[in-house]
Amino acid sequence: MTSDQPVTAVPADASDPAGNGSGQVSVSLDQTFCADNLFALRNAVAAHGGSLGLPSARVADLVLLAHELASNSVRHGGATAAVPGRLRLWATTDPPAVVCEVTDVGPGLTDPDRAGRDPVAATAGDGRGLWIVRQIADAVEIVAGSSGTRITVTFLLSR
Amino acid sequence: MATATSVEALGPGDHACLTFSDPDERLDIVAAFVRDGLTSATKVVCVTESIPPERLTAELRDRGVPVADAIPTSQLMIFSTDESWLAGGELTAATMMDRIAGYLDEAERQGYTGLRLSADMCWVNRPIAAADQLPVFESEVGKFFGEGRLTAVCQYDREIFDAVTLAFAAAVHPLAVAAAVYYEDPVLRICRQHTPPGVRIAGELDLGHVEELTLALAEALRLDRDIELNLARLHFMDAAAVGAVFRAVAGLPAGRTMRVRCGGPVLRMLRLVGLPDLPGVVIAETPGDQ
Repeated sequence: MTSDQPVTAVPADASDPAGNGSGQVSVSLDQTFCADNLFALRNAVAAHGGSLGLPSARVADLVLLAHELASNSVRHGGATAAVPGRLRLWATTDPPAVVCEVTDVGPGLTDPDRAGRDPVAATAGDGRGLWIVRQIADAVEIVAGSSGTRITVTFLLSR
Repeated sequence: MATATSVEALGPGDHACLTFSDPDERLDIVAAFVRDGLTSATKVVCVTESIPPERLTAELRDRGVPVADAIPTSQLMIFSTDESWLAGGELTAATMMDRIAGYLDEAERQGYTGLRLSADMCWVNRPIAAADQLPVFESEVGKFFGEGRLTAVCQYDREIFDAVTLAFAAAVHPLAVAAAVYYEDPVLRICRQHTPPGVRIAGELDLGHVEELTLALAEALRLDRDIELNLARLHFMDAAAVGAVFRAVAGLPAGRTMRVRCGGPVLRMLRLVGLPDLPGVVIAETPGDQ
């Protein structure tokens, strides 16, 4: 498990995000995904980002961040139409932020602490997704285990 | 029915229609048509209606057409409909035929091998225009092509013309020019760009179409030394797609360049991953699309 100073309370149980007693968490988007519906997923995230009052450039950042997490699940985390990945988005008030959580049942990252930390070689065609996530997000938490991977990122509303 | 062809394949005597829905794509093809005419000692006349002559001139210049050399020598002439078809006051098939005959004579007097005519046809929808003259004109104009001195591309905007007129246009033109499309669906379009040569991508591009992007870039780099990757109309691009661009740039021999035209969120993403810093990559920033 790795964490960059999580700035918000994250639901401990992925199946019960709002019921952890924090009093300020309510899931605004909960959507499954696979390779075939990432366009719809991006649209849904954009709509929610817009409803939070984010300026369009920040909405675009949030969409890119959510997409890269989902893309990672599709390409490496075993997310398919039969066993889709799951993306949830919720807002927190202290500090004002959007939290985006993506879970899949794939084997997970071998080294979650290092994943996406270093720039990728210019000749490589792959491996920039988590780098982008770490550049955009204010905090990234990766939990990788035998039952799957959960990545939770915090995106501050004012930045 | 018109046979599909590429603008580069047009030669003396060809009469082609260009039906389009993307104004940029139309200008791209018109610019290639003009450019190829100028380099083959042909006189080129553009009659424009949907955009004023000054803007068409600027659009051609932006696409690398040497307008500054060709307009003063009148090898290239750019007219509005009022200055050409309507210059005599009345617009009929007969006056249009006279006008083309005049341009052909002028080309011959000036020593050019022939005439290239780029005709924006949306004047047909003006209240003043007699729409019944269009079929007469498009049929009679055929005699000029038989002599092999005239080459023309008549442009029909799909947003303006009704289906019957578009079908008519397709029927009377032996050829139809279009951009080579590598991939197209409601969300994404990847096609060849003619001026400057390269690839144009519109819509949203993600991991699902990395292969098509790779093929399009490879073909562009085979055909031309330096290419432009035009992403001005691309709203979203992900890490997997940009990976294909990194690979293409990595294979670029020293001294060759890939110009990437983009703005807004796509440019921001490219900066995050460092594409603009690569040797051979030149960024041409456009106003953000969002």
